[in-house]
Amino acid sequence: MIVIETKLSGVLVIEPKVFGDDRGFFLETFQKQRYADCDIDLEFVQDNHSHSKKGILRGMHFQKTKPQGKLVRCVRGEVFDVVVDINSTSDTFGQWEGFHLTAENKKQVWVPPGYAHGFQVLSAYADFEYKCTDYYDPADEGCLLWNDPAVGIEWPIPNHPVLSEKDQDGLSFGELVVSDKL
Amino acid sequence: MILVTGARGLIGTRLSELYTKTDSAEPALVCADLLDGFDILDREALFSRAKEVMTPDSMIIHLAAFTDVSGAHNQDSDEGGLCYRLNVEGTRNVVDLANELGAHLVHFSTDFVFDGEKSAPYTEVDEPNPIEWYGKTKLIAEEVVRDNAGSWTIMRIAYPYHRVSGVRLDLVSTIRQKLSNGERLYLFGDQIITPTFADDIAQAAIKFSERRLKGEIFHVMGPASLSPHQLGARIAKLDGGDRSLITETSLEEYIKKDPRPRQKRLAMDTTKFRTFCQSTGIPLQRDLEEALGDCRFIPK
Ligand SMILES: NC(=O)c1ccc[n+]([C@@H]2O[C@H](COP(=O)([O-])OP(=O)(O)OC[C@H]3O[C@@H](n4cnc5c(N)ncnc54)[C@H](OP(=O)(O)O)[C@@H]3O)[C@@H](O)[C@H]2O)c1
Repeated sequence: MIVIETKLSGVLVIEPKVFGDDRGFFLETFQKQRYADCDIDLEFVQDNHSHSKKGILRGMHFQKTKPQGKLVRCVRGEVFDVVVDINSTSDTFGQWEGFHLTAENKKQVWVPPGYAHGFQVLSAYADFEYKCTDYYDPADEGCLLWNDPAVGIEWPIPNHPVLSEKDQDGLSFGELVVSDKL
Repeated sequence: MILVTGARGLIGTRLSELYTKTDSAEPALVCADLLDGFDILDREALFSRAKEVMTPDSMIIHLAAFTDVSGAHNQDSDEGGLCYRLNVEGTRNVVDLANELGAHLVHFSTDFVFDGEKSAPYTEVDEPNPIEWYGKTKLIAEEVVRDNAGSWTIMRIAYPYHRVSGVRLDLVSTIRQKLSNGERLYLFGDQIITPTFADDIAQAAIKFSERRLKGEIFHVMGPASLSPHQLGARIAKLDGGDRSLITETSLEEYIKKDPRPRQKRLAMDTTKFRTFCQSTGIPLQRDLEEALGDCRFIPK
C-alpha cells in the first residue's frame, strides 16, 4: 500500500495494494496494524454507505464537539472528495484539498478529526463508503457552506449541484469562526 | 463632537439613533445633512456652518453621497452630473474642511470599487477596478481622501441591513416583507454579496473616529459572503417562512437584457476589520442568524 501525505496535516491518500487476476480483484480495505503504522490508530466505531446520483453534493460536514475521523472510499463510479481544515490552531486553517476517488483507482482518503468533509458525484451514480471514529450525532453536526468564497473549493460541477436543505443552509467559514461554531 | 454628513440617510439614521444620547460617554453627533442646512456642494456655506458647531477636537464622518447606482449609470462619464459632483467634488470640500479644522475624517466607500471578477474574497490591498459610474466616482473620492486629507480612515461597506426596517427597504427587509406577504421573490443564485449589519457599521465608524486610525482602509463587512438566493433561503429558515416562494434566477442571464454593468462576485475579506474589533473590544454580530434574529421586521 502506498501512503501519500497532502498539504493538510494528517490527511492521507492511501493506495491499497490490489491483487487482480482473470477472476477479478482482491484488496484489504482496512487492516488495523498496517493502518496504525501510518498513524491511523483511532478506533473505528461506525461504517456508512451512501448512494447518490451525478451532481449530488454532500457536505461540508463536521461534528463540533465529537469530531469524527473518516476513512473514505468510492466503491462505484467517481466522486470528487474534499477536505477542509477547520482546526483554528493549524497552519493550514481554512485551506482545502480535493481528490478524485473512483471505483477503479480504489484510493482511500484518511480525514482525521478536525476537518470538514464532503464530496460531489461525477459519474451517473456513485456508492461511497466510509469508516468513522465516532458515532454520528445529529445534535453535534455542523455544516460549512459548500461554495463559501472564503474557502474557494473548486468543484468540478460548480453550478447547481443537488444539495439537501441542510447543506444549502451551511454557514460560511467566517461565521463559523466568529461564532465559535467549529 | 462628530460632524456627520449625510446623517439622514440609510447609515446615518442608525448612527444617530445609536449615538445621539445626551447621557452617553460617546462624543456628541451633529447631523449635517441637507435638511440641517449643510450642503457639501456649497463650499462656503458648508465651511461657515461647520465652523459654528465644530470644536478643536472634532471629527467628521462623511456619509453624504450619490448612492443610487442605477441613477448613476444614467450619468455615465458625466463629470457635470450630480453623482460626480456629490461623490467627488463634495468629498473634496469635506476633505478641505477637515484639513482646515484639523479634524480626523472617516470616509465611507463601497465594495463597488471592485470589478467583481475575483472569486476569492477581496482584501484591502487588492487593486480596485470599478466597472460602473457610481463605483468609479467613489474610487475617485477615495483617491481624493488618500491624497489630500491630513488624517483619514476609509471604511468600505456593502449591503447594509437594519435592525428595524426603515423608510428605504434594504435587501434583508425586502426579502422579509415579501415572504411575510406570501409574495413570490426572485433572487440571483450566481451573484456573491456580503451583507452587513448596520449596527456593526455604526459602531465601527465611531471607533474609527475616536481612534483616529490614520491612513487605513478597512473592509467593514459581515462575516458571510453568499448569493442573494442563499440569503433568502436562510431568512426563510430563520423566520419559518415558505422557501418555495423563492425562485433562483441568474445574474448572468439578467445582464444580457439589462446593459448596466453589475459586479458578479463581491466576497469580502474582513480579517483586518475583525482583528481591529477584537483588539478594541468591539462586539460584532457573529453570524447572520444572530444579526437577523436581532432585526425586528414589522410587516406593513
Ligand atoms: N447603502 C449602501 O448599500 C451602501 C453600500 C456601500 C457603500 N455605501 C456608502 O455609504 C455611505 C452612506 O450611504 P447611505 O446608504 O447611508 O446613503 P444615503 O441613504 O443615500 O444617504 C445619503 C445622505 O446624504 C444626503 N445628501 C445628499 N446630497 C447632499 C449634500 N449636497 N450635502 C449634504 N448631504 C447630502 C442625502 O440627503 P437627501 O436624501 O435629502 O438627498 C442623504 O440623506 C455613502 O458614502 C455610500 O456611498 C452605501
